[in-house]
Amino acid sequence: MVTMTQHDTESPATGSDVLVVQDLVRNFGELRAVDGVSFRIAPGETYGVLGPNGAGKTTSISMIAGLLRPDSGSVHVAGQLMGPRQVGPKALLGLVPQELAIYPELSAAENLRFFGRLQGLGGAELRSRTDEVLDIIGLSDRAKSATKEFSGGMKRRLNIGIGLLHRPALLILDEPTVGVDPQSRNSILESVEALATEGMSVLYTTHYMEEAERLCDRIAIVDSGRIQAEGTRTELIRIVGELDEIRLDGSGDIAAAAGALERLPAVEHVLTEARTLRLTVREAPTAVAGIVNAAGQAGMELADVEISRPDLESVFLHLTGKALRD
Amino acid sequence: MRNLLAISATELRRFIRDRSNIFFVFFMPLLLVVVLGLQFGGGGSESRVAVSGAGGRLRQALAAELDELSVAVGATGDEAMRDQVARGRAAAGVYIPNDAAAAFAAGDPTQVELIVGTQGGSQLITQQVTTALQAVSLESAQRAALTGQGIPPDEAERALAAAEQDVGPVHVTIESVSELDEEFSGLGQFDLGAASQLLLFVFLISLAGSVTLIQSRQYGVQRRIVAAPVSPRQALAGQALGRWVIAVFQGSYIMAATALIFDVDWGNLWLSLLVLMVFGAVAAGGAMLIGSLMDSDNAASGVGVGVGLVLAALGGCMLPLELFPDTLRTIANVTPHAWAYEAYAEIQRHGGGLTDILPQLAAMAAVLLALGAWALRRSVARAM
Amino acid sequence: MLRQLWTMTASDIRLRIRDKSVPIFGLLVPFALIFVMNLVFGDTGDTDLDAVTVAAAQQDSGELGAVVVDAVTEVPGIDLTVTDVPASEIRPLVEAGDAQLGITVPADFTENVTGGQGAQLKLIQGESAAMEVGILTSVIEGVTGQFAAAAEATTAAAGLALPPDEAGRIAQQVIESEARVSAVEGRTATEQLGAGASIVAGQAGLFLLFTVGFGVLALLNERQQGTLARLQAMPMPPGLVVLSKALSSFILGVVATLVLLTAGSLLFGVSFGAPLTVLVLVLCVVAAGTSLMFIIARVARTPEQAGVMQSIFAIVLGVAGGAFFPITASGPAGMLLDLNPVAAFTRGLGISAGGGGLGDISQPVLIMLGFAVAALVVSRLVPDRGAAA
Repeated sequence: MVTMTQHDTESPATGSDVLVVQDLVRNFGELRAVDGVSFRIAPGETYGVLGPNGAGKTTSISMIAGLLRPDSGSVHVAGQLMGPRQVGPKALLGLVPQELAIYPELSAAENLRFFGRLQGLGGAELRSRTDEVLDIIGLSDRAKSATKEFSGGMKRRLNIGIGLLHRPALLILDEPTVGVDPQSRNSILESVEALATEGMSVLYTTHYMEEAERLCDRIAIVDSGRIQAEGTRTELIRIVGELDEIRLDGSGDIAAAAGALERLPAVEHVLTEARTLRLTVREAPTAVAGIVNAAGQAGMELADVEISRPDLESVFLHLTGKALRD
Repeated sequence: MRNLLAISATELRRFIRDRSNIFFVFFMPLLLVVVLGLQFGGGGSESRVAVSGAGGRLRQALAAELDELSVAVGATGDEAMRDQVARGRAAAGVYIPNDAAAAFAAGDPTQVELIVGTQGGSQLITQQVTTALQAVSLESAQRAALTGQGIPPDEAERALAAAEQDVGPVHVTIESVSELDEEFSGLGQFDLGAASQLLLFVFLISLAGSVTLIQSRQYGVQRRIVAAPVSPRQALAGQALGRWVIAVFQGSYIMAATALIFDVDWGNLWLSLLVLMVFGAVAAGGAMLIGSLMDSDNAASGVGVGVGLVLAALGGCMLPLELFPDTLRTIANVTPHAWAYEAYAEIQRHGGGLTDILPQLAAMAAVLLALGAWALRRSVARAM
Repeated sequence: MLRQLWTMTASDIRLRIRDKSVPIFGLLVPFALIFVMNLVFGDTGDTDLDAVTVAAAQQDSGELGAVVVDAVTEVPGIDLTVTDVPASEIRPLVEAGDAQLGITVPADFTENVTGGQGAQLKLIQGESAAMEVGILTSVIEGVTGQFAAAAEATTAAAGLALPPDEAGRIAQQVIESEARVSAVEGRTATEQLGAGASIVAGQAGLFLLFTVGFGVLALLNERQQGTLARLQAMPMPPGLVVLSKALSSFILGVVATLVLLTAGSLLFGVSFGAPLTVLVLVLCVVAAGTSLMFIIARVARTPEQAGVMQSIFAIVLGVAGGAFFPITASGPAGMLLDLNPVAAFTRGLGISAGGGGLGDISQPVLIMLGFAVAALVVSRLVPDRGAAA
């Protein structure tokens, strides 16, 4: 079932959920960065938050991890109220900040041990857990090198490893693949999949549709500080209904073509991206001829036409009128 | 050449825009010139005696006699006097008990308490106070001698006052043949401090700039190599020129400000500027060297401050070179500061011309070449 | 919680030592400066009196000239040689440094003095032994003062129509009079350091302010490298991060200062007094310095800003505290200087070096602790825009 509500009226009864977020609001001066966000994560669930840069993902994460106090609303972790001064719930979370958060002067093992101690680990447990995590993130052979000599991908993996160390009930990954080479990215995604199979709950934010589709049991689509829609992939795509996407590549008077196409009854949305027009269209196979015709008449010289089935990207376009990647 | 100018102009602009530099560049040097001028310039080194206790004739007479001996006198309470002496804020203290003041007024022998501090010069101040007390006693000795002959006190007093008018004084003239006194005699109160602070700060601020060098190496090298048609050698020269422009800018500012505010005489302006430019080049060379030798910016700023202050102390910027012991005076010549100091001494005090400061300029140029060659080899080897 | 505090503190200390900033700023640089400044300033506080040669040209036909020269030879504590030379040789001797003081007593000195016409005694000073020469000069001024007083008394006696031999006796009496006001040596505690020791103390105090500043820089670095966010997400009270920075600053400051004082006193043969008293002073000055850093932590936005503010605080307080040359002032300016923790620290060490114990250093201790409290209060009041935000 699809929940499109932005203002969940449920009481903060948490049940068995690992995370319950209720009506989070946070302003920065005039700007309302987070505007009434509510969602829940069940044990073992991988929950994705998909949205463009500036949608309020990191601000929400900061409030969930207790780094930032919400202006209103609440966060409960395993039934305990979270806030900057709450020690108990913080121990249940493993935060992987979007920016690297490691000490460049320390080695990988030293970084892990340092944060492990702060998480309350010690002795043999800390040692064995450090080794395990180094193994998971594939850095066992570089455990003793200073991390400033690491490649970007290795640093990213260590950044994630630190969040795993204390076996958190909920692992929070804030855009873990930004600026990472394809190979490292794949290994990060594989690690997350492995963790999920082991039963760890994961909160995963991203602006890559493919990552959300591949990893997440449920996905929230966010924009402008609000959850625009939430559900499984299938549920979300159902929002778009029978709408397909048609991409027109070409040259000439693209702006005029866009204007002309918007007036066609079959066309729901037109988005202009440089030399490409992306249309959300009802019954694409029958409408395509008229569309090609109208574009040509408006002065656009077509180079390529492509019809595709809807994906999360189309859902986002449908809900916000914007592309996911600006 | 255009590239070079562009890089160095940008460096200067960045330097001036950084508000945090304002304090060190514009304010701190002048502050120190003032402090040094007040402490050491214009007879500031005279010793001071704090007098406490009963007022009256004894106290006035003592103060007058000490003043005659060029000893500064301050009046305070007893506790404060002891505190000042204990802390070295007064070289000595005198406490006049009430009965001593009364006995003195009555012409009887009496005693005051003299407390002398432990710092250098304590024997001198003891002697000076003793001499002053002796002089104070003479007046009553004169009266006693007269009244001892049966002269009534008020008559004796009058006769003495009249005699004081008639009798010619016994002068002690003191002439100094010390070269030091001669050396410093023509200097204004702030002249010496201005020249030494100029050298200290130009060098210190330049060395602090080595941090910029390390940071731009850390963050910017790849970007630059990819982006601009500038060879490492050119980039290095631009950086060096930038440091130099900043050094000369800072030095010119100190010269102008001290000349305007404190009336410091810089002698022949062109020659003074020439010394500054050569010294600034040495300072820039030093910055380049530290920047190319070190990798950690924190450590480099530490080394910069350390080297800057140590060389300044050794080169006569904290204590005038002329006051150095002979061996140390020779050692001081390893610092560019000492050479520049001498050059300024020639120009400021002796009206020296270009030929007079040629040896100093040559020495600095030699240091500069050595620094430059070393820094260049090192920098090019590691692509900046 | 204590375990977490110590984990962060220990890691911080290790990082500061590893990136060499503390060894360089806290130990190497101040030590180099102490060494050089001792070379440069070291002998300015010397209190031993040197041997002096006086070149005297005794041209006086009367007896007073001899009295002057005798008075000079009788000055206690100075190893004095008097050479009789013709007047024309005095200047060359003094200029060459073979004599430190030249005295020329003119031929008619006694006659002119006793006759009341006034007279002149010429002294020539050379470059060296300024203090010894000053003492001798002062003695000579005292003697000539007596001559003048005696001449006045004789003239007065003549004015009162006393017979000439009475007048002569009066003159004799004035010259031979014991000082009617004599000085007894009083005592006060010694609260100042010798030249060498004050260089060590001043530099230790100055660079301490750099050493403790690295805690703040570390905090700003944590923010720049993103680790601060992670620390804040750890299961511990939020204030613990800042507390650990203060603690590591404090520990590094105490260690660096103690090392500098110990090394300085061993190398330059100075003593700062009882170890316990010195330790208390060090703890207090480090507390004052560390609390100052809380203000910087609130105000500075970047490590660069913090570095500059730190240098400004350190150099202003260090210079005003006498780290480079003694600063003396009285009145309100002196009071203001007294409130400076570096000055209080140097003063406390002076008291302790002079034999003072814990009870005697209460004033500097209160100043330093007061400064610490004041800085903490200010740091709560200034708008938070920096590392702790």
